[in-house]
Amino acid sequence: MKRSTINRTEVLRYLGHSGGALDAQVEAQLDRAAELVLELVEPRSVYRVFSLNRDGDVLRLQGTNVALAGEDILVHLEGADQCVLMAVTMGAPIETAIRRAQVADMALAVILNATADAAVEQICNSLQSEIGDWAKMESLCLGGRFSPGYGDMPLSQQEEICNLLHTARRIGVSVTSQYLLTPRKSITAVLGLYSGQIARRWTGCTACLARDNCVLRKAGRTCEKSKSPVG
Amino acid sequence: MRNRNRLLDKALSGFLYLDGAMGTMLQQSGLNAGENPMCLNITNPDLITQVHRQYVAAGSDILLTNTFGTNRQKLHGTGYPPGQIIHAAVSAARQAAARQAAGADTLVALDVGPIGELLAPLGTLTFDDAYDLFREQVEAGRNAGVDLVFIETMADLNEVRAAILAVKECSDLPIFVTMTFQPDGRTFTGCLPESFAMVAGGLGADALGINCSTGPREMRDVVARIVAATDLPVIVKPNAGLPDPATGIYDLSPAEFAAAVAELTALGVSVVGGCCGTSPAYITALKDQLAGANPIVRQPRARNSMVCSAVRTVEISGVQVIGERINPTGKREFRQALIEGNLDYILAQAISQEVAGADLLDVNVGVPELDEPAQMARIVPAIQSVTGLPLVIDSSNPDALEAGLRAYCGKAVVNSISGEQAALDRILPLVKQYGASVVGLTLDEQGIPETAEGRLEIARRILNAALAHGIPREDVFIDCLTLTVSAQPQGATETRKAVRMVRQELGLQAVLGVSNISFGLPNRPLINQTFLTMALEAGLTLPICNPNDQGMMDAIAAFRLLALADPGGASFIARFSAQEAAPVPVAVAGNQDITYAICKGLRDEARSITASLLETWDEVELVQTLLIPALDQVGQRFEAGELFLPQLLNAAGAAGGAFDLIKERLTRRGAAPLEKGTIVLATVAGDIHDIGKNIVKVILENYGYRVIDLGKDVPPEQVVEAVVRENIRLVGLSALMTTTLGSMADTITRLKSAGCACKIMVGGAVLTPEYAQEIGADYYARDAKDGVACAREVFGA
Repeated sequence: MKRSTINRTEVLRYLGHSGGALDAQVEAQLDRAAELVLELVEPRSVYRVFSLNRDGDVLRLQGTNVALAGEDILVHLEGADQCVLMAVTMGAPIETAIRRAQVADMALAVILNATADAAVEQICNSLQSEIGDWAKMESLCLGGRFSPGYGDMPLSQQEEICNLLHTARRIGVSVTSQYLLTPRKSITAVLGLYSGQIARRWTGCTACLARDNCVLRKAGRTCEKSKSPVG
Repeated sequence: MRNRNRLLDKALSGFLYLDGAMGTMLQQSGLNAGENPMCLNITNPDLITQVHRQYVAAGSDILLTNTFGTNRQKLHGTGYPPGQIIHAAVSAARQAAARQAAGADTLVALDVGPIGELLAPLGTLTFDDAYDLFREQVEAGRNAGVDLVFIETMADLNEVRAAILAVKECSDLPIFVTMTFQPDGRTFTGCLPESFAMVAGGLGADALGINCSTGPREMRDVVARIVAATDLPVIVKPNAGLPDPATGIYDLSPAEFAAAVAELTALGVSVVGGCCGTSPAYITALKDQLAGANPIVRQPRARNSMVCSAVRTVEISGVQVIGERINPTGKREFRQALIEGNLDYILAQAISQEVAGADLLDVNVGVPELDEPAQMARIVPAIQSVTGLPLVIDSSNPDALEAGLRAYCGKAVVNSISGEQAALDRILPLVKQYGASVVGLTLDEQGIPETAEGRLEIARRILNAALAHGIPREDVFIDCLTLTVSAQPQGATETRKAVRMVRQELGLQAVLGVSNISFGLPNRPLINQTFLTMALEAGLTLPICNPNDQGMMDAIAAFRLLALADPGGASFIARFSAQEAAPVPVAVAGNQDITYAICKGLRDEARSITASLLETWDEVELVQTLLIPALDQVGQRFEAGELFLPQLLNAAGAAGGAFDLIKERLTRRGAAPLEKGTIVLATVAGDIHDIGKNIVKVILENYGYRVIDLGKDVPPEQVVEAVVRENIRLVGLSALMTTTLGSMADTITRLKSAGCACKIMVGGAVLTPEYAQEIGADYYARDAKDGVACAREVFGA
């Protein structure tokens, strides 16, 4: 990950910045956070392709005992023959840095936290484009990400996804008894693979975990450029 | 014992062959991905025996039972307790193992994998939880009659410790242990091969090494590092190469795998097997490849004094500084922080000493009011959660030393033991059990000998006692004791002489607390610095001092340069060019605007303006008329969206500097602190997101409330206990995830049923005012500013 790839606009968005002037101190903290994240990031990812079996309203991953739960995922994967399960993580060192900052400099800690969130999102995006390239070679189309906790997909699905991907030994990601991923800066997701056109692209805010608290949505905007809030 | 000897003889004299993958074989037999393979021990034991038989036929000396994740946690929902599965798994393996002629039985190892949940601080599992989960497995394996325990695929050194201690404390089975390393030479949690070898060896493992990780070709460097760091037989058990990302299929054939593993044996490996993607064909190929060969004779290892945490090793060579600041003796504020449970204060001391250049940190938490072992067990992991520096566990209470050693992840130093027989008998076994180093004080029943010769004699006695307990010589450090020169003018000379003798005649590391020398004298820093330099010249290797004392650290930097321990003077030059470049703080005029400084988050300015204001203002008046209104102004601008969160927090930090100054003055005068009330804050059980809660804490403290911060993942009963004990009027609970809202509701119910009359405020991303009301909270706090409003309402100030 190159320095230029840390997206400051995203970081500021996560921090709830609404356009006020940034002072020199915050600028310096933003730089320091970006520097720390780039120094400490240990990006790791794993993915695997599964065929989908539709059994009435139940969407099963072939060759496994796992079914993807909820109605929203059915909509998300409409028309897909296969899906990709993926998991990415920033690794453990950044967690220590965030803990340290919380002792000495709380402002730096929240900026570091947001910078790490932006970075893990970018790791996701780059894996997604890598999988997209592979899909293209196989004459397939890759759909968008859908994660446990979105819409009505239960968070408990984290555990099944992590088991299938062997995330613990492949990338060092485990699931707590409350189905949170550790290290915390980690993401799992399900993406559709389509042989034809993708039936649906953007599921809108309906399926978003942050829906009820989203500052953008409250302000009538979305994180998807040029779209207005849906649902 | 019979097995231990037989195994070790074999591993040292010829190659010892493990088996290959179990999971891969079961999947080939039709096990669905995601199904729990451990249940097959009960539902289809013949299948398991068949796989084991294939490995016996391939020539494995040791079979690993199909019990990789057989802990209560992972078996949840299967309906089987670990004991039942382990019993069945051992029988299945034993059936295959016993098919050979008498005396040539293949051995059966209880396979123990990671728990599957990360330990704190990354996850929520405590060390004791982990220990209990492992103990349950080990007891079942022991009862089922396994020949040894094989702990594998570990990524967290603390989990390795819990597992080894569980085996050691519930059985006398031999222990093989392997971790999984990344190509960068660390495990996922950052553990180094050297730390692993040091800690696992110190705890009494019989063989150690690497499994899973990568293919055999990618693990060469890590294997070489492990071989260099241990005398024990070294194990490699790699995957069959690297997996294809889309299909998960591994890329090495049995012959390629065997050739690559054979290259690793040239480094000194003597125990070999296969992990993911391998099959009996891989073991056969390995045996063919190594047929007729013998493990190489390994070079004797350099016996350096080393200590470590999981993520950092420190070799004691030249001068290493032990930071002395984590110690309540004579420090009113530190004492207060310990008594109030103010961890942040202590952690800040750890971080600032690390930044100032300490190599190790001394940890002493003894205050008469508190249970010292319990404090040690709490504070050691907390310090390790923010720094990788190795720790020195410092106490005169053996139970506190033991609590510290058990809690410490790494190889610690025990500080200290005297030459008194009772102390040697009590503490040396602990040092051995946990594989630590130890500081011996040159005093005994008769007190401190006046002469250097007398102290050397005690040092020799301590060393011999340590050797007799099996503690290697390089792990014994000697403190020749610094006496106050104003009381004993000869003291400095004898101490230096003793240091020289300990170094030259015993070859041991020398420790000294330096600053005792100058009690009762003017210009103490000068005496300290001069004595330090003289002691370094005499051979002192581990000065205990305050690394924030620039003069002391400068003297050490200069000594390193002059003693040729700083090649080219690079560190010295870097240190002093950095000091020259540092901006000189500008003196601030007394009438400068404190409101401006706080709003802009200017910490140093806020502090110095406050200092000059306090020349004319009364503390209370300053807080009421200037500081609180400044904070209110920041709060309003935050609400209006003119400032965002980091700016609010910078302002809080600046105000915090001003408040600290006021607090210090009040404490010095013995005046009552400006506390408006005490608030308990906690992130509820199951939730590990604590940034939001910490933000609220910072802001509440700014406004003059005392905060008891219970941390994250806090069980309801702990909240109730704190509220009752401190007679609390306001509790703040935080939860970030929908899944943990239930435990927030539970905490509130328990507070109410315990009859607590406190008000409860709740906050967190997924909360709504409606839900807050539904679960019985008194207030919903949208953000930290709201939290202050709640506190004002409850305390009326």
